[in-house]
Amino acid sequence: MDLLFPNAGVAVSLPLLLLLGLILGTLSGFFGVGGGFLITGGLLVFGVPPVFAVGTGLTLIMGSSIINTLKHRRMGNVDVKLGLLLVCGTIPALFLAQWIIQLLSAAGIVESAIRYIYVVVLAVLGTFIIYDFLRTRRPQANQEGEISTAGLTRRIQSMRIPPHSVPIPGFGTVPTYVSLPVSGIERISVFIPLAAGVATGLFAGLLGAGGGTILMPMLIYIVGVPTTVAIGTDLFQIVITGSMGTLIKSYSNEVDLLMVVIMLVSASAGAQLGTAANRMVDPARIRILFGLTVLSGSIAVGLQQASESFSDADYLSIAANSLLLGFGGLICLVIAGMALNAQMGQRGNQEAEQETRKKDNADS
Amino acid sequence: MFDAFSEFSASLSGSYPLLWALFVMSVVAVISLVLFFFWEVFFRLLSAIGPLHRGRRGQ
Repeated sequence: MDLLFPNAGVAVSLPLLLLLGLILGTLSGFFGVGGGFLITGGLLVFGVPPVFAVGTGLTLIMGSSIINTLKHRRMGNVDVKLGLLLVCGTIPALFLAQWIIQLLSAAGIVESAIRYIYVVVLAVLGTFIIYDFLRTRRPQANQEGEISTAGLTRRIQSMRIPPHSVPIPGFGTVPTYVSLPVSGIERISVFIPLAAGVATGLFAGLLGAGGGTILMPMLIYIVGVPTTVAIGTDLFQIVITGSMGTLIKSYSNEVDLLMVVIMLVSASAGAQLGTAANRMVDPARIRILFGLTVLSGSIAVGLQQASESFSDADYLSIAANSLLLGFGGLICLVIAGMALNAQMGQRGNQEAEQETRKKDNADS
Repeated sequence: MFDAFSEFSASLSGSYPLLWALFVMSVVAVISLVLFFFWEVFFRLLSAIGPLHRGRRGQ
């Protein structure tokens, strides 16, 4: 059942569009990422022109992130203070990234440079997350469920970075340290979340996607934010940066609004599954699944780069996008399975408790 | 309706790109909020109906 989208100039299967939206919503709600690499790749596989694939994908991410942020906020997972600090770093970095792209473009190496950076960063990140998961499962880990960089995060949180206060007209001298109670951080220098925001903005600006992919692990492994709060706060930040991207892309008429609305409906359904599963699944398992997803992204971009480097290798580009889509779908099934398993486990525990109480009452 | 909307979007985006951009953002934001509240109401109704249904089965 194909629908013609005159704006993008392409006919796309409606069930596939809805499926893509569902996958995006689920992954976004579960991992706290925007899903840019997935949505753009998926739309390209469907034959949407690249310009519209990026713009439409970004607009969908904005909408999906609004829904997921509101859901996570209800669960107490959004640290608004931290999110605003991150945005203060991300937005200027996006403009800096644009300037770097212009320099690379003038040198004629922008596309391959960006892809190589993407492959290396995602590969290192994915590998580290998997290593952290395997290491913290060992009995001699410091505390159960603690990440391997717990010592590093404590040191970073206790760092004193000058200037220790700044004069602000009308407010007097304001200290440059904040408490982030939602994240469970008593005191941290504002320059740390600002730096995290700058790194995110550079990464997102250079690669066109992946801000959430780099921010979420940075918040967990460097700043020391709990996994679920990192997810919620990341989504909040994506709403703001996604809105900026949407404004730019739609101004240039690179967004098919009807396609966005259709996918947003199924993405909202996916968001229910993703956020519900996030509540039930162990944070360590969330991290390992995220690591595997990031690694698949690295492989997909590597395949994309190979398709550009070799002639008559267009099949590698199709393979890249199909891998992303297929892996995204598989992860959604795993998430649904884990959530179901956790739900059945909870029911089993409740029934066992009821039986024990009945027995105690009968004995007494 | 599809064609009418396509014509509208083509003319607005061509003549008033900033207005079009703000229109796109507003539509997406409003639809996102509507969908969020739709699912909230849906699950609340579901959890309200659940105990009633179990009560009837018990009778």
